[in-house]
Amino acid sequence: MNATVEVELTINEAPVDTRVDSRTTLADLIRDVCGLVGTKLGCEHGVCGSCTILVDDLPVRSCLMLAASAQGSSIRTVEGLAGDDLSDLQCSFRDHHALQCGFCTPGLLMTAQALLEAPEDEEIDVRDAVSGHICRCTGYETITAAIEASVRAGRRPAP
Amino acid sequence: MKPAPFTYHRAESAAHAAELLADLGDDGRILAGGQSLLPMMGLRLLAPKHLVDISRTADLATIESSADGLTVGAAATYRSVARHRAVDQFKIIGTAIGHVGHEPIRNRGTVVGSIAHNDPAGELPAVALVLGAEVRLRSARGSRSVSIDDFLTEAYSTTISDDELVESVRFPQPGAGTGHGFSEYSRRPGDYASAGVTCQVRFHADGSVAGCRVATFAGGGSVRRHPVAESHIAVGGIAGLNVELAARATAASATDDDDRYHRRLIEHLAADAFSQAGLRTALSGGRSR
Repeated sequence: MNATVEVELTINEAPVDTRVDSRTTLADLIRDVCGLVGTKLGCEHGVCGSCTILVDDLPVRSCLMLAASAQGSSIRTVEGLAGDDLSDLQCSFRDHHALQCGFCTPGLLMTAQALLEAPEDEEIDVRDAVSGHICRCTGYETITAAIEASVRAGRRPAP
Repeated sequence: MKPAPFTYHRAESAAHAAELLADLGDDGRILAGGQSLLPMMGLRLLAPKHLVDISRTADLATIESSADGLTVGAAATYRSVARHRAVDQFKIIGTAIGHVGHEPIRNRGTVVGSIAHNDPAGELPAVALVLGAEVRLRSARGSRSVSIDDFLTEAYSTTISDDELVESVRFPQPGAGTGHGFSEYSRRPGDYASAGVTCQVRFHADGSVAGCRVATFAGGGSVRRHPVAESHIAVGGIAGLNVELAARATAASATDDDDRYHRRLIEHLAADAFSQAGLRTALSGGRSR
Protein backbone atom coordinates (compact mmCIF):
# COMPACT_ATOMS: atom_id res chain seq x y z
CA MET A 1 0.00 0.00 0.00
CA ASN A 2 1.43 3.35 -1.03
CA ALA A 3 0.27 5.19 2.05
CA THR A 4 2.45 8.30 1.92
CA VAL A 5 1.92 11.53 0.05
CA GLU A 6 4.04 14.52 -0.93
CA VAL A 7 2.80 17.83 0.49
CA GLU A 8 4.00 21.28 -0.47
CA LEU A 9 2.54 24.33 1.26
CA THR A 10 3.53 27.37 3.28
CA ILE A 11 3.08 27.84 7.02
CA ASN A 12 3.37 31.43 8.22
CA GLU A 13 4.97 32.16 4.84
CA ALA A 14 7.73 29.58 5.32
CA PRO A 15 7.74 26.90 2.60
CA VAL A 16 7.20 23.30 3.72
CA ASP A 17 7.93 20.42 1.35
CA THR A 18 7.64 17.01 2.93
CA ARG A 19 6.34 13.46 2.57
CA VAL A 20 3.86 12.29 5.19
CA ASP A 21 1.58 9.34 5.91
CA SER A 22 -1.65 9.75 3.92
CA ARG A 23 -3.59 9.77 7.17
CA THR A 24 -1.62 12.68 8.65
CA THR A 25 -3.97 15.51 9.56
CA LEU A 26 -2.99 19.09 8.92
CA ALA A 27 -2.81 19.55 12.72
CA ASP A 28 -0.28 16.71 13.04
CA LEU A 29 1.76 18.11 10.15
CA ILE A 30 1.87 21.51 11.85
CA ARG A 31 2.71 20.14 15.30
CA ASP A 32 4.73 16.98 14.76
CA VAL A 33 6.46 17.60 11.43
CA CYS A 34 6.96 21.36 11.64
CA GLY A 35 7.25 21.61 15.44
CA LEU A 36 4.74 24.47 15.67
CA VAL A 37 3.03 23.35 18.86
CA GLY A 38 1.07 26.56 19.43
CA THR A 39 -1.84 24.90 17.61
CA LYS A 40 -3.54 22.67 20.19
CA LEU A 41 -5.42 19.41 19.77
CA GLY A 42 -8.34 18.96 22.15
CA CYS A 43 -11.15 16.72 20.98
CA GLU A 44 -9.70 15.82 17.55
CA HIS A 45 -13.16 15.60 16.03
CA GLY A 46 -14.01 19.19 15.26
CA VAL A 47 -16.02 20.15 18.33
CA CYS A 48 -13.68 22.05 20.66
CA GLY A 49 -12.12 24.54 18.22
CA SER A 50 -8.64 24.46 19.81
CA CYS A 51 -6.94 23.43 16.55
CA THR A 52 -8.47 26.22 14.45
CA ILE A 53 -5.99 27.75 11.99
CA LEU A 54 -6.30 29.83 8.81
CA VAL A 55 -6.12 28.04 5.46
CA ASP A 56 -5.97 30.56 2.63
CA ASP A 57 -7.29 33.16 5.12
CA LEU A 58 -10.34 31.14 6.26
CA PRO A 59 -10.64 29.51 9.70
CA VAL A 60 -10.58 25.73 9.46
CA ARG A 61 -10.35 22.87 11.98
CA SER A 62 -6.85 21.52 11.34
CA CYS A 63 -7.83 18.18 12.96
CA LEU A 64 -10.54 17.71 10.31
CA MET A 65 -8.37 18.32 7.27
CA LEU A 66 -5.78 15.97 5.83
CA ALA A 67 -2.34 17.45 5.30
CA ALA A 68 -2.63 16.11 1.74
CA SER A 69 -5.78 18.19 1.14
CA ALA A 70 -3.81 21.34 2.04
CA GLN A 71 -1.46 20.90 -0.93
CA GLY A 72 -0.55 24.35 -2.27
CA SER A 73 -2.30 26.21 0.55
CA SER A 74 -1.11 29.12 2.58
CA ILE A 75 -1.46 28.23 6.26
CA ARG A 76 -1.34 30.62 9.20
CA THR A 77 -1.02 29.53 12.81
CA VAL A 78 -0.81 31.39 16.11
CA GLU A 79 2.98 31.56 15.72
CA GLY A 80 2.44 33.87 12.75
CA LEU A 81 0.50 36.53 14.69
CA ALA A 82 3.26 38.18 16.72
CA GLY A 83 6.20 40.05 15.25
CA ASP A 84 8.84 41.17 17.75
CA ASP A 85 5.92 42.11 20.00
CA LEU A 86 2.50 40.58 20.49
CA SER A 87 -0.11 41.62 17.93
CA ASP A 88 -2.81 44.14 18.93
CA LEU A 89 -5.29 41.24 19.11
CA GLN A 90 -3.03 39.26 21.43
CA CYS A 91 -2.51 42.38 23.59
CA SER A 92 -6.28 42.79 23.77
CA PHE A 93 -6.61 39.19 25.03
CA ARG A 94 -3.99 39.93 27.69
CA ASP A 95 -5.53 43.27 28.68
CA HIS A 96 -9.02 41.77 29.02
CA HIS A 97 -7.85 38.66 30.91
CA ALA A 98 -9.29 36.59 28.05
CA LEU A 99 -7.31 33.49 29.00
CA GLN A 100 -6.35 31.47 32.02
CA CYS A 101 -4.83 28.10 31.11
CA GLY A 102 -4.40 29.20 27.50
CA PHE A 103 -5.20 25.90 25.81
CA CYS A 104 -8.12 27.24 23.75
CA THR A 105 -6.43 30.59 23.08
CA PRO A 106 -4.53 29.84 19.84
CA GLY A 107 -7.73 28.62 18.16
CA LEU A 108 -9.73 31.59 19.40
CA LEU A 109 -7.00 33.99 18.26
CA MET A 110 -7.09 32.57 14.73
CA THR A 111 -10.90 32.76 14.56
CA ALA A 112 -10.72 36.36 15.84
CA GLN A 113 -7.96 37.18 13.36
CA ALA A 114 -10.25 36.04 10.50
CA LEU A 115 -13.01 38.32 11.86
CA LEU A 116 -10.63 41.28 11.88
CA GLU A 117 -9.67 40.54 8.28
CA ALA A 118 -13.26 40.19 7.00
CA PRO A 119 -14.24 42.74 4.34
CA GLU A 120 -15.37 46.07 5.86
CA ASP A 121 -18.91 45.68 4.48
CA GLU A 122 -19.37 42.28 6.09
CA GLU A 123 -21.34 42.07 9.29
CA ILE A 124 -19.43 40.21 11.95
CA ASP A 125 -20.87 38.42 14.93
CA VAL A 126 -18.27 37.92 17.66
CA ARG A 127 -20.47 35.79 19.92
CA ASP A 128 -21.40 33.51 17.04
CA ALA A 129 -17.72 33.10 16.12
CA VAL A 130 -16.73 32.38 19.73
CA SER A 131 -19.52 29.79 20.01
CA GLY A 132 -17.39 27.48 17.86
CA HIS A 133 -14.80 27.22 20.66
CA ILE A 134 -14.89 25.59 24.06
CA CYS A 135 -13.17 27.43 26.93
CA ARG A 136 -13.42 25.85 30.39
CA CYS A 137 -11.71 28.72 32.27
CA THR A 138 -13.02 32.14 31.41
CA GLY A 139 -16.79 31.91 30.96
CA TYR A 140 -16.31 33.60 27.55
CA GLU A 141 -17.26 37.15 28.60
CA THR A 142 -13.66 38.35 28.69
CA ILE A 143 -12.94 36.65 25.36
CA THR A 144 -15.82 38.37 23.57
CA ALA A 145 -14.81 41.66 25.24
CA ALA A 146 -11.23 41.28 24.00
CA ILE A 147 -12.30 40.53 20.44
CA GLU A 148 -14.95 43.26 20.38
CA ALA A 149 -12.39 45.82 21.59
CA SER A 150 -9.99 44.69 18.89
CA VAL A 151 -12.71 44.94 16.21
CA ARG A 152 -13.61 48.45 17.44
CA ALA A 153 -9.94 49.46 17.28
CA GLY A 154 -9.97 48.69 13.57
CA ARG A 155 -10.51 45.89 11.10
CA ARG A 156 -7.69 45.23 8.68
CA PRO A 157 -7.39 43.31 5.44
CA ALA A 158 -5.47 40.03 5.25
CA PRO A 159 -1.75 40.54 4.63
CA MET B 1 -8.50 9.74 17.12
CA LYS B 2 -6.24 8.86 14.19
CA PRO B 3 -7.70 7.25 11.06
CA ALA B 4 -6.55 3.77 10.05
CA PRO B 5 -3.98 3.82 7.23
CA PHE B 6 -5.27 4.37 3.71
CA THR B 7 -3.98 5.36 0.30
CA TYR B 8 -4.68 8.92 -0.79
CA HIS B 9 -5.67 9.86 -4.34
CA ARG B 10 -6.14 13.43 -5.52
CA ALA B 11 -8.77 13.64 -8.28
CA GLU B 12 -7.85 16.11 -11.02
CA SER B 13 -11.35 16.13 -12.53
CA ALA B 14 -14.77 14.53 -12.14
CA ALA B 15 -13.84 12.02 -14.86
CA HIS B 16 -10.60 11.17 -13.04
CA ALA B 17 -12.51 10.63 -9.77
CA ALA B 18 -14.89 8.26 -11.59
CA GLU B 19 -11.97 6.32 -13.11
CA LEU B 20 -10.32 5.99 -9.70
CA LEU B 21 -13.55 4.67 -8.18
CA ALA B 22 -13.94 2.19 -11.04
CA ASP B 23 -10.46 0.81 -10.26
CA LEU B 24 -10.89 0.79 -6.49
CA GLY B 25 -14.35 -0.80 -6.26
CA ASP B 26 -15.82 -0.90 -2.77
CA ASP B 27 -12.40 -0.11 -1.22
CA GLY B 28 -12.63 3.49 -2.42
CA ARG B 29 -14.43 6.39 -0.83
CA ILE B 30 -14.88 10.00 -1.88
CA LEU B 31 -13.42 12.69 0.41
CA ALA B 32 -14.93 16.13 -0.12
CA GLY B 33 -14.89 18.50 2.88
CA GLY B 34 -14.29 15.63 5.29
CA GLN B 35 -16.18 17.27 8.16
CA SER B 36 -18.25 14.10 8.72
CA LEU B 37 -16.01 11.46 7.13
CA LEU B 38 -12.78 12.32 8.96
CA PRO B 39 -14.30 12.24 12.49
CA MET B 40 -15.90 8.89 11.67
CA MET B 41 -12.54 7.60 10.44
CA GLY B 42 -10.85 8.96 13.57
CA LEU B 43 -13.35 7.08 15.70
CA ARG B 44 -12.67 4.00 13.51
CA LEU B 45 -16.33 3.75 12.61
CA LEU B 46 -15.08 3.76 9.02
CA ALA B 47 -11.75 2.55 7.64
CA PRO B 48 -11.74 2.92 3.85
CA LYS B 49 -8.59 1.56 2.17
CA HIS B 50 -8.54 4.37 -0.39
CA LEU B 51 -9.68 7.99 -0.28
CA VAL B 52 -10.34 9.92 -3.48
CA ASP B 53 -10.00 13.62 -2.60
CA ILE B 54 -12.27 15.88 -4.67
CA SER B 55 -11.95 18.96 -2.43
CA ARG B 56 -9.68 20.70 -4.97
CA THR B 57 -11.38 19.32 -8.10
CA ALA B 58 -12.28 22.48 -10.00
CA ASP B 59 -14.98 21.04 -12.25
CA LEU B 60 -16.82 19.73 -9.17
CA ALA B 61 -16.72 23.04 -7.28
CA THR B 62 -19.22 24.78 -9.54
CA ILE B 63 -22.48 26.46 -8.49
CA GLU B 64 -24.81 27.19 -11.40
CA SER B 65 -28.12 28.97 -11.39
CA SER B 66 -30.56 28.76 -14.32
CA ALA B 67 -34.29 28.54 -15.04
CA ASP B 68 -33.96 24.86 -14.08
CA GLY B 69 -32.82 25.74 -10.59
CA LEU B 70 -29.64 25.79 -8.58
CA THR B 71 -27.06 23.12 -9.37
CA VAL B 72 -24.42 22.61 -6.71
CA GLY B 73 -21.26 20.66 -7.50
CA ALA B 74 -19.84 18.03 -5.16
CA ALA B 75 -16.88 20.15 -4.03
CA ALA B 76 -18.80 23.40 -3.38
CA THR B 77 -18.49 24.31 0.30
CA TYR B 78 -21.34 25.46 2.53
CA ARG B 79 -19.61 28.84 2.61
CA SER B 80 -19.51 29.26 -1.16
CA VAL B 81 -23.15 28.16 -1.56
CA ALA B 82 -24.40 30.43 1.25
CA ARG B 83 -22.62 33.39 -0.34
CA HIS B 84 -23.80 32.71 -3.89
CA ARG B 85 -26.20 35.34 -5.23
CA ALA B 86 -28.66 32.66 -6.44
CA VAL B 87 -29.30 31.63 -2.84
CA ASP B 88 -31.53 34.73 -2.57
CA GLN B 89 -34.14 32.63 -4.38
CA PHE B 90 -33.48 29.63 -2.13
CA LYS B 91 -33.58 31.26 1.28
CA ILE B 92 -34.34 27.92 2.91
CA ILE B 93 -30.93 26.63 1.76
CA GLY B 94 -29.20 29.63 3.32
CA THR B 95 -31.20 29.17 6.53
CA ALA B 96 -30.34 25.48 6.71
CA ILE B 97 -26.63 26.12 6.10
CA GLY B 98 -26.65 28.63 8.98
CA HIS B 99 -27.54 25.73 11.30
CA VAL B 100 -24.63 23.52 10.17
CA GLY B 101 -21.85 23.43 12.76
CA HIS B 102 -19.70 26.54 13.09
CA GLU B 103 -17.94 28.71 10.54
CA PRO B 104 -14.74 26.61 10.30
CA ILE B 105 -16.92 23.56 9.55
CA ARG B 106 -18.87 25.47 6.90
CA ASN B 107 -15.62 26.67 5.32
CA ARG B 108 -14.65 23.05 4.54
CA GLY B 109 -17.87 21.01 4.56
CA THR B 110 -19.91 20.61 1.38
CA VAL B 111 -23.65 20.71 0.63
CA VAL B 112 -23.47 17.65 -1.61
CA GLY B 113 -21.30 15.75 0.87
CA SER B 114 -23.97 16.23 3.53
CA ILE B 115 -26.61 14.80 1.19
CA ALA B 116 -24.40 11.87 0.11
CA HIS B 117 -23.56 11.13 3.77
CA ASN B 118 -27.25 11.21 4.81
CA ASP B 119 -26.57 11.79 8.48
CA PRO B 120 -29.85 11.40 10.41
CA ALA B 121 -29.28 14.91 11.82
CA GLY B 122 -28.39 16.38 8.41
CA GLU B 123 -30.07 19.68 7.54
CA LEU B 124 -29.26 19.50 3.83
CA PRO B 125 -30.72 16.04 3.06
CA ALA B 126 -34.00 17.24 4.63
CA VAL B 127 -34.03 20.47 2.62
CA ALA B 128 -33.20 18.51 -0.55
CA LEU B 129 -36.21 16.29 0.17
CA VAL B 130 -38.68 19.15 0.54
CA LEU B 131 -37.33 20.99 -2.51
CA GLY B 132 -37.58 17.80 -4.60
CA ALA B 133 -33.90 17.84 -5.53
CA GLU B 134 -32.34 15.74 -8.27
CA VAL B 135 -29.09 13.88 -7.58
CA ARG B 136 -26.66 13.51 -10.48
CA LEU B 137 -24.48 10.40 -10.18
CA ARG B 138 -21.38 9.73 -12.23
CA SER B 139 -19.27 6.66 -12.83
CA ALA B 140 -16.88 5.47 -15.52
CA ARG B 141 -19.96 3.71 -16.98
CA GLY B 142 -21.80 7.00 -17.49
CA SER B 143 -24.10 9.37 -15.65
CA ARG B 144 -27.60 9.04 -14.25
CA SER B 145 -30.02 11.22 -12.33
CA VAL B 146 -32.04 10.03 -9.36
CA SER B 147 -34.74 11.91 -7.47
CA ILE B 148 -33.79 12.64 -3.88
CA ASP B 149 -36.73 10.49 -2.75
CA ASP B 150 -35.15 7.49 -4.49
CA PHE B 151 -31.62 8.41 -3.37
CA LEU B 152 -31.90 8.62 0.42
CA THR B 153 -32.67 5.40 2.26
CA GLU B 154 -32.12 4.74 5.98
CA ALA B 155 -29.59 6.69 8.08
CA TYR B 156 -26.11 6.97 6.49
CA SER B 157 -27.35 5.06 3.44
CA THR B 158 -28.25 5.92 -0.13
CA THR B 159 -28.83 4.03 -3.39
CA ILE B 160 -25.42 5.03 -4.79
CA SER B 161 -23.26 2.24 -6.29
CA ASP B 162 -19.68 1.55 -5.19
CA ASP B 163 -18.22 2.96 -8.38
CA GLU B 164 -20.33 6.14 -8.41
CA LEU B 165 -19.83 9.60 -7.01
CA VAL B 166 -22.45 12.30 -6.59
CA GLU B 167 -21.39 14.83 -9.18
CA SER B 168 -23.95 17.51 -8.30
CA VAL B 169 -27.37 18.11 -6.80
CA ARG B 170 -29.97 20.27 -8.55
CA PHE B 171 -32.53 22.14 -6.47
CA PRO B 172 -35.48 23.00 -8.78
CA GLN B 173 -36.69 26.60 -8.84
CA PRO B 174 -39.57 26.65 -6.32
CA GLY B 175 -41.72 28.93 -8.46
CA ALA B 176 -44.29 31.57 -7.53
CA GLY B 177 -46.77 30.84 -4.75
CA THR B 178 -44.40 28.62 -2.82
CA GLY B 179 -43.74 28.92 0.90
CA HIS B 180 -40.93 27.35 2.91
CA GLY B 181 -40.32 26.62 6.55
CA PHE B 182 -37.27 25.47 8.47
CA SER B 183 -37.30 25.01 12.23
CA GLU B 184 -34.53 23.36 14.22
CA TYR B 185 -33.80 23.01 17.90
CA SER B 186 -30.37 22.23 19.32
CA ARG B 187 -29.23 22.67 22.89
CA ARG B 188 -26.36 24.93 21.81
CA PRO B 189 -26.01 26.70 18.46
CA GLY B 190 -23.87 24.63 16.11
CA ASP B 191 -24.45 21.34 17.92
CA TYR B 192 -26.18 18.44 16.23
CA ALA B 193 -29.90 19.16 16.13
CA SER B 194 -32.13 17.63 18.77
CA ALA B 195 -34.75 17.68 16.04
CA GLY B 196 -35.75 19.69 12.99
CA VAL B 197 -38.65 20.09 10.59
CA THR B 198 -38.66 21.64 7.14
CA CYS B 199 -41.39 21.99 4.54
CA GLN B 200 -42.35 23.37 1.15
CA VAL B 201 -45.99 24.35 0.52
CA ARG B 202 -47.30 25.25 -2.93
CA PHE B 203 -50.35 27.52 -2.96
CA HIS B 204 -52.97 28.16 -5.65
CA ALA B 205 -53.65 31.80 -6.51
CA ASP B 206 -56.73 31.72 -4.20
CA GLY B 207 -54.58 30.69 -1.23
CA SER B 208 -55.62 27.05 -1.19
CA VAL B 209 -52.91 24.43 -0.95
CA ALA B 210 -51.75 22.81 -4.19
CA GLY B 211 -49.14 20.50 -2.72
CA CYS B 212 -46.81 20.03 0.19
CA ARG B 213 -43.62 18.27 1.26
CA VAL B 214 -42.67 17.82 4.90
CA ALA B 215 -39.42 16.31 6.16
CA THR B 216 -37.84 15.85 9.57
CA PHE B 217 -34.25 15.26 10.66
CA ALA B 218 -32.74 14.10 13.98
CA GLY B 219 -35.28 13.57 16.79
CA GLY B 220 -34.26 9.92 17.02
CA GLY B 221 -35.06 9.04 13.40
CA SER B 222 -33.45 9.31 9.98
CA VAL B 223 -34.13 12.08 7.47
CA ARG B 224 -37.49 11.34 5.87
CA ARG B 225 -40.79 12.70 4.55
CA HIS B 226 -44.15 12.32 6.27
CA PRO B 227 -46.88 11.51 3.73
CA VAL B 228 -49.73 11.50 6.25
CA ALA B 229 -48.88 15.03 7.40
CA GLU B 230 -48.48 16.12 3.78
CA SER B 231 -51.92 14.81 2.88
CA HIS B 232 -53.50 16.52 5.91
CA ILE B 233 -52.18 19.84 4.63
CA ALA B 234 -53.03 19.09 1.01
CA VAL B 235 -56.65 18.10 1.71
CA GLY B 236 -57.00 21.04 4.10
CA GLY B 237 -57.80 22.93 0.93
CA ILE B 238 -57.92 26.45 2.28
CA ALA B 239 -54.60 27.27 3.95
CA GLY B 240 -54.84 26.82 7.68
CA LEU B 241 -57.20 23.91 7.90
CA ASN B 242 -55.75 20.72 9.36
CA VAL B 243 -52.42 22.34 10.21
CA GLU B 244 -52.43 21.29 13.88
CA LEU B 245 -53.42 17.82 12.76
CA ALA B 246 -50.51 17.84 10.31
CA ALA B 247 -48.07 18.94 13.04
CA ARG B 248 -49.25 16.05 15.24
CA ALA B 249 -49.04 13.64 12.30
CA THR B 250 -45.48 14.76 11.55
CA ALA B 251 -44.48 14.18 15.18
CA ALA B 252 -46.26 10.83 15.36
CA SER B 253 -44.66 9.48 12.20
CA ALA B 254 -41.18 10.84 13.04
CA THR B 255 -40.91 9.37 16.55
CA ASP B 256 -41.50 6.19 18.56
CA ASP B 257 -44.58 6.11 20.78
CA ASP B 258 -42.54 6.19 24.00
CA ASP B 259 -40.26 9.06 22.89
CA ARG B 260 -42.50 11.78 24.29
CA TYR B 261 -39.81 14.45 24.40
CA HIS B 262 -39.01 14.34 20.69
CA ARG B 263 -42.70 13.90 19.81
CA ARG B 264 -43.68 17.13 21.56
CA LEU B 265 -40.60 18.95 20.26
CA ILE B 266 -41.28 17.96 16.65
CA GLU B 267 -44.96 18.91 16.96
CA HIS B 268 -43.94 22.45 17.92
CA LEU B 269 -41.15 22.66 15.33
CA ALA B 270 -43.58 21.46 12.65
CA ALA B 271 -46.17 24.09 13.62
CA ASP B 272 -43.43 26.72 13.45
CA ALA B 273 -42.21 25.50 10.04
CA PHE B 274 -45.78 25.40 8.66
CA SER B 275 -46.35 28.93 9.91
CA GLN B 276 -43.16 30.16 8.22
CA ALA B 277 -44.38 28.58 4.98
CA GLY B 278 -47.58 30.64 5.19
CA LEU B 279 -49.98 28.18 6.80
CA ARG B 280 -52.01 29.58 9.68
CA THR B 281 -51.79 27.62 12.91
CA ALA B 282 -53.39 28.03 16.32
CA LEU B 283 -50.14 27.01 18.05
CA SER B 284 -47.97 29.66 16.45
CA GLY B 285 -50.36 32.37 15.34
CA GLY B 286 -48.89 32.29 11.85
CA ARG B 287 -49.49 34.80 9.13
CA SER B 288 -52.27 34.95 6.57
CA ARG B 289 -51.63 35.01 2.86
